[in-house]
Amino acid sequence: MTNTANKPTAAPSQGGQMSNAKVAGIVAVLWVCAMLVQLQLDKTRHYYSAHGKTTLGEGLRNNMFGASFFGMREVVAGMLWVKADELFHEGKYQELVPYFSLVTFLDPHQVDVYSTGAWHLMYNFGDPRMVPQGLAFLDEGVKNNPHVWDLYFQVGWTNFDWPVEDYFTALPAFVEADKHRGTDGTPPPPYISHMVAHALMRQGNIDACIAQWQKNYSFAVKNYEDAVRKKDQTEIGYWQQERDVCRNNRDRVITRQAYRRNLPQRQKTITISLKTRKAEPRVVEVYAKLNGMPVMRDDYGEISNARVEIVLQDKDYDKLVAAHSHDFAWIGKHLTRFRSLYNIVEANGTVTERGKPVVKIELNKDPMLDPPRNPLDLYPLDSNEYELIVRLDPRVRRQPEAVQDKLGWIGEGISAKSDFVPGKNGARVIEKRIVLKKDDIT
Amino acid sequence: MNTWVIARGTFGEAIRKRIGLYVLFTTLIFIVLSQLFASLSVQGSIASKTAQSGNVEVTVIKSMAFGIIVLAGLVLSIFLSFDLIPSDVDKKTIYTILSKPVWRWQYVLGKFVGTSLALGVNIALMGVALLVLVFLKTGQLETPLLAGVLLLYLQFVLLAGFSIFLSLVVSRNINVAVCFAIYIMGMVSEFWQDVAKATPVPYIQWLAKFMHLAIPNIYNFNVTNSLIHMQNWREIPSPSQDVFLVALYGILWCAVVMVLASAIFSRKEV
Repeated sequence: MTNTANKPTAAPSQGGQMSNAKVAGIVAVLWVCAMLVQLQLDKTRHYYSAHGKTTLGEGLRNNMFGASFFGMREVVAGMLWVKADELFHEGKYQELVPYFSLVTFLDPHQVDVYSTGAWHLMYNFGDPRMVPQGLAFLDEGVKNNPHVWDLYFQVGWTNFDWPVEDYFTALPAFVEADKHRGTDGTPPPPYISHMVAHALMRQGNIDACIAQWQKNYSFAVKNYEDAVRKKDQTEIGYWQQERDVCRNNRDRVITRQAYRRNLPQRQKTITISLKTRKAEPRVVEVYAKLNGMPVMRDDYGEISNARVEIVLQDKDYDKLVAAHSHDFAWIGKHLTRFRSLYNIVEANGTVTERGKPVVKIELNKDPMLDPPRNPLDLYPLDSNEYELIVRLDPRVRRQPEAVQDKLGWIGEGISAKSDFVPGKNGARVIEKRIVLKKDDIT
Repeated sequence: MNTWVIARGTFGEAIRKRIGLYVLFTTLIFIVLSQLFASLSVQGSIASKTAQSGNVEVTVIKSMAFGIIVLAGLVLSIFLSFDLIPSDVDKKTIYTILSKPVWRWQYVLGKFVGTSLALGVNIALMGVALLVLVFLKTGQLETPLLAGVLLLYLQFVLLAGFSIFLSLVVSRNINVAVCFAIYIMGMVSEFWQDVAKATPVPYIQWLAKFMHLAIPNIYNFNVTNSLIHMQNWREIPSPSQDVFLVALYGILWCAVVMVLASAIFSRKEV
């Protein structure tokens, strides 16, 4: 500062004026300090941002869009999600799918968008070709939200339940889910550890399943006792029920394990007779019979019916999907897959649908949604060869308990002479495949 | 002391300005209405049938409230400060002030502090409204939300500083436009990091990294996403240290702007 500028003056002055060099020096020092602080901030910045790896977001920074929305990115994402819901109800499914990517691109931490979007893709559209897309969407959600149980659980459930029924992928997802807190910061709910036990059972690891139920039971007992000490009636009721459920499930598995222990010595030979007929273009009638099926009765002596899955798909469907693993547009445009899951096996082994001894594969209409989609889009029938699969999987959830009482947890009661395919952990799944030409269908 | 007197005067003036009151009341109404918007957006949708429907509502409420605070703060910070010194010059009140024993830097700093205080009152009210709304919805007092509001406040203070600085060198219209440009540029400053990662050319890499460090990184002040999804906030190792660093960053940039503004005003003929 100059001498005259050092003190306030009584007239409009140039008071407080510093030399240019001094100003530049102070600014430079402050600026460098700010840069150093910025370097520190860059180390932890990823915790705070809405960044995530999304299919849409590769190479793009979503905060750039955030700026253009003046910080309202999450609101815009919420509005787009509401719009997506409207499109679903209007039946505009093709238009809907890009919204999933867009919403999660704008806000990759909207856990519910991942779970609901995946359920749309895997279940609500009724298009089994979209299952890989749903799974990929969930995987993306897990990567962007690894600290909460919600999406691990969704990965576990969608692999556990139909349409995937892969218990070896489901189990580690449930185990991981059980390690994390929820979005609200609360501990994982007990039903996750229940699913660990269920997945172990479906894998055929019965001893591990019983041990898991025991662990769940001990946990419930401990919490029940804590609740009693605290005299918290709500908690007492909750953990009492949880304790009873775990004990009953544990005992039930132990009982069934004893009952099913000798199944390998009492194996049944089950074969499948299979015929098809083209009823009209794009309508195939399937006549299937499971020969050698034992009569199955439930705990009350009533006849229990097994469920058979019937699939019509491009030959080498799984290989084609694997070859185009991220090209969902190609899969949707070129591949055909029809699944009918709940066909009943009557006592004489005949596979029936709605009481009739024939299962109709109708590729000329939308099986699920109203307004209907164009069947040419749903079932493009682009290939020359297709495979028709008739499958009875004793492991799946839709089978009554009596089926496993006769055929085993994972098919231990099925002989090597049967029509079967081997699965993991020594599983045997009754299955027959035949190849159909395109002319047999169209 | 002189600074404080000017700051108090500026604060009173800012509080009495109609635009401040309009923005404040509109914002408070919108923050309260965000609850209605949240419930409407979830009602009847697939999300309402999931276990997380409550989360969706809270997400929308927080997101809208933060968004409204950002919009209101932007408008307030720029429009409360862009005309402070020019209007004093136009109305010739500046002569009355500078005829008193007061440094010019004290005048500039006083204007800045007064505007910051007025902004503080406005943003604090909005922050309290957000906190109360979330409490009513979740039953939990999510105090970390206040850290988000504090950092947004610092962001607006910095913008106000830029606006005061620019009011000394450019016209009012250009001042407003440049302030918005600074905001946008600061929000996308991470773009330079992407450029640095993407390019194989070393000198462009160096330049991009320098740009990222050199420009005011307004995006630092935006931690709202981790607060909207509180599960992410809980995973941060030391949020208080980060908040402190961001605050320090803001203070350093405010100091840069104030030093420049004071230097320019000291050389200015009025």
